[in-house]
Amino acid sequence: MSLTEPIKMSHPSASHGEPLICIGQMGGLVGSILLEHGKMPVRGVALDNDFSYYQALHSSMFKFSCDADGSIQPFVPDGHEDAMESINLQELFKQEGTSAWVLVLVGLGGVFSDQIIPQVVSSIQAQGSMVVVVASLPFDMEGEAKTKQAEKTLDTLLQSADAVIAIPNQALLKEHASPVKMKTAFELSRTALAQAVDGVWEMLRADGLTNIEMSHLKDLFQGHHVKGLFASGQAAGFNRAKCAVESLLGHPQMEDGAALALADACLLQITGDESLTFKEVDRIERALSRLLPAGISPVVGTSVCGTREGWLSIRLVSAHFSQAKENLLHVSPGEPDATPDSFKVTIQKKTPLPQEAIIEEEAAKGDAPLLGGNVEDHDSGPINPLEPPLGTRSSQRGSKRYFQTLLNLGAKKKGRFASCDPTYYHSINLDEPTFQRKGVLFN
Amino acid sequence: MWTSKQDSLVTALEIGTSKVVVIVAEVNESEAINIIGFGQSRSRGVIKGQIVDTKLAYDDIRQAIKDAEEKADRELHQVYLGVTGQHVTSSNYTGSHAIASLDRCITGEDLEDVMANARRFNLSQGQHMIHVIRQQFMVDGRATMHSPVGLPGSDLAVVLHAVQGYKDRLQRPVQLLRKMKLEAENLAFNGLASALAVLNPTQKADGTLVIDLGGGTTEYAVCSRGVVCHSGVIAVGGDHVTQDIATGLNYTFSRAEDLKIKFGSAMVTESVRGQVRDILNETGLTDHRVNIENLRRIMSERLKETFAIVGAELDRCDMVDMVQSVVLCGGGAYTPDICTLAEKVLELPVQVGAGVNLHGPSSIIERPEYATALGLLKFGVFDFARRRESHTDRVPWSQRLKNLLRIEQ
Repeated sequence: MSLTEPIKMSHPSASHGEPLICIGQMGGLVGSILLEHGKMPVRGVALDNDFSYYQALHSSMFKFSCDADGSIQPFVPDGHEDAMESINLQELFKQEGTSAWVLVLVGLGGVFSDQIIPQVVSSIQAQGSMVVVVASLPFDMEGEAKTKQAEKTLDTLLQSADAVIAIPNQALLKEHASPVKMKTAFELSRTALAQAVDGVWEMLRADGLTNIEMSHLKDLFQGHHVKGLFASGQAAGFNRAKCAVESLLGHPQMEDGAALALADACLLQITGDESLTFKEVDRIERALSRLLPAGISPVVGTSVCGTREGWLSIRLVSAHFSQAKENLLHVSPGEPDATPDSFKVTIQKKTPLPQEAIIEEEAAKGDAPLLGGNVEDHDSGPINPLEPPLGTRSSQRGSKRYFQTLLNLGAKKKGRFASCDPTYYHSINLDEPTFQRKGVLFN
Repeated sequence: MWTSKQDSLVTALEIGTSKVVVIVAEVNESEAINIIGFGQSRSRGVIKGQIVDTKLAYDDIRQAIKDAEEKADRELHQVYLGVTGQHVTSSNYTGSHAIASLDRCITGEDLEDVMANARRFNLSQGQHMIHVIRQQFMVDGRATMHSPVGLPGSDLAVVLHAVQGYKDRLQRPVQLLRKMKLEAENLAFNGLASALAVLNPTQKADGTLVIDLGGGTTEYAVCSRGVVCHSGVIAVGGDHVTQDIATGLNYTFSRAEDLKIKFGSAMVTESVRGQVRDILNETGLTDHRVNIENLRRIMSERLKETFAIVGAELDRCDMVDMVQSVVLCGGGAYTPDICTLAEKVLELPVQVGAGVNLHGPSSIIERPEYATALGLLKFGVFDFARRRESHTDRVPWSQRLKNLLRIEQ
């Protein structure tokens, strides 16, 4: 069987659509997840120097092995050498015409990935396509060498690619209080990367009522930015617009919305079913605009997708131009001294507002979770690693304050309704007190 | 024509979450309803409209029936039973039929065919049809409320509103009644019964939303062009308001219920900002202090959400434009400022409803919490009249037997 055959067959959607270039093991595995999902009609192309994980890759994916000298040739599994036909990467692109843009998916930090990325980017650009790179940055525990390698590659990419959206893996662990297993951490990383690619693809490809185009992405990201963040949120049912915004802000990269306070530009794609209303779009746009710095408003795209009835999803890409801000984003709460002096966070105890006073009082008693969140005296005692990035909240986002809500680990009392079926309305348990669900605070 | 005193007796039984109500009425030949008996007892075995403790429910129903029998001085054998609960759902169905006759005039047979087509909807396993209400006919796409027999056309369609519930849930109260040697003459959805009770013909024609704020459930029904065109139930009621207060202010359920009745309101007004009241215990000493603003805020949030859900449901079914006003009934209609809150949320004029076209003590007819039971009475009268007509039209058994055996007269 010729290796070029899968281009024409194998996966029903493989013969059309933009190529998704997956570089390295991380890229290949995430690309396989996306192809398995079948939502994106893309031509998956895997590039690596070692395909020991060959069996884990999606069958429709074109596999190219790359040598240390940079030459790229189709990967032939053992026992299939006779079937080999020579084809190079550029020929693959030529086969079905040029795409307007190509998504490149990669985990930064690996030596191979960093060698091959600039070559791939230039190859794609030589065909007249624009390149959007979605990359994951290594975990802290992977070592300083990998981090530096990743930063170096990122710098190169920022100069060459049309848009780069970076997912810092370490940020994904912030939501987890308990030690995370290695396997779980990498699963999280792969999921986040897959979501980002899916989201960007959806953003650019969705037949929207109001479209976000490649030019929007390029304008935001080309040349002068430092990094782009991607987050998504979705909700269904009663008050889904508000719930979707909350879900978006709950994305690990969003840091409860604090990351938006540092954004210099923002793209917003809202996708709903047939019932999507102007009011919902307006509500989402206004809610997120409030979190953005003054003078910055998001570019909003909307599309109607009938596949998930009742659901509304938001995808957001934000750009951060300033290196200084970027550094601040990555302040490690446990190690404030590691940041440059100019970005050190001064933690001051401010005079509490009446509502906050109640929360403080209840937090002191240790039973505050239901009515808001925890506010701690940061003057004394260790900094809670579960706290949001310090200094990025009230001081930089204007008057609106967000608190990290504690998990309620105690069993909820059902009271009078313990002996009957719960009342659900669009996945909301109406037996729970409304004021608790809405987070209404009392005087 | 009513044949005997027992025949002219209609009894309504509502097994509610907070109370069991029995109303006995006599119906004269012109179908005017005159209430002659009334029984009520506290309901302890029902939560969210569903019987959860049969022993307690049996005792409460027995007590209410006994009271009503004593007041009416009659022995009751049959009742019209109100049903509700979150298992009760409603939907609209459309059936169509092509007119085959040469002159293209719609006949009675065409009507039967189109109704049969519309009724061919699939119920989920275990569901039972409670009501099927004809909405309107469509002749070649043109809507008509009247019988289209005799009209020319090529395509006839009919829209039906159906209310269905799960058999096992519906059977629970029926089985309890059997133990009391009582027969459930027919079942009626509480939401529809309330609408029957409180709406006058003008309101039914103009488009009115009836919301019955009960103890465990909130039923709603939309009447427009003289028929019920949408109905539903949310298993949220006054008990949820009380439970919210109990949770929020850390009181027992019964104490929270007392506070709700004494100090509750649907709105948080400026006058209660920061207001604190002392609660006295049995000895007259201050037992607790309650923040009235917080109490009302808790109530307001729950009630606001309930109205918002009703509004969202109407919006989902494209019923918003059909509704011109709102009528509230049920015990929740007593909540101070409830109309103001409903007006604010639903953006429609709101009023509290009472029974119309009924004769009897004003202490029953004019109180919104008895709307369902009063509606059941009306439903009973309609149902009895309908069945009597069908009985009159029916071919006698002797004739049927002759037909079957082909015996010529």
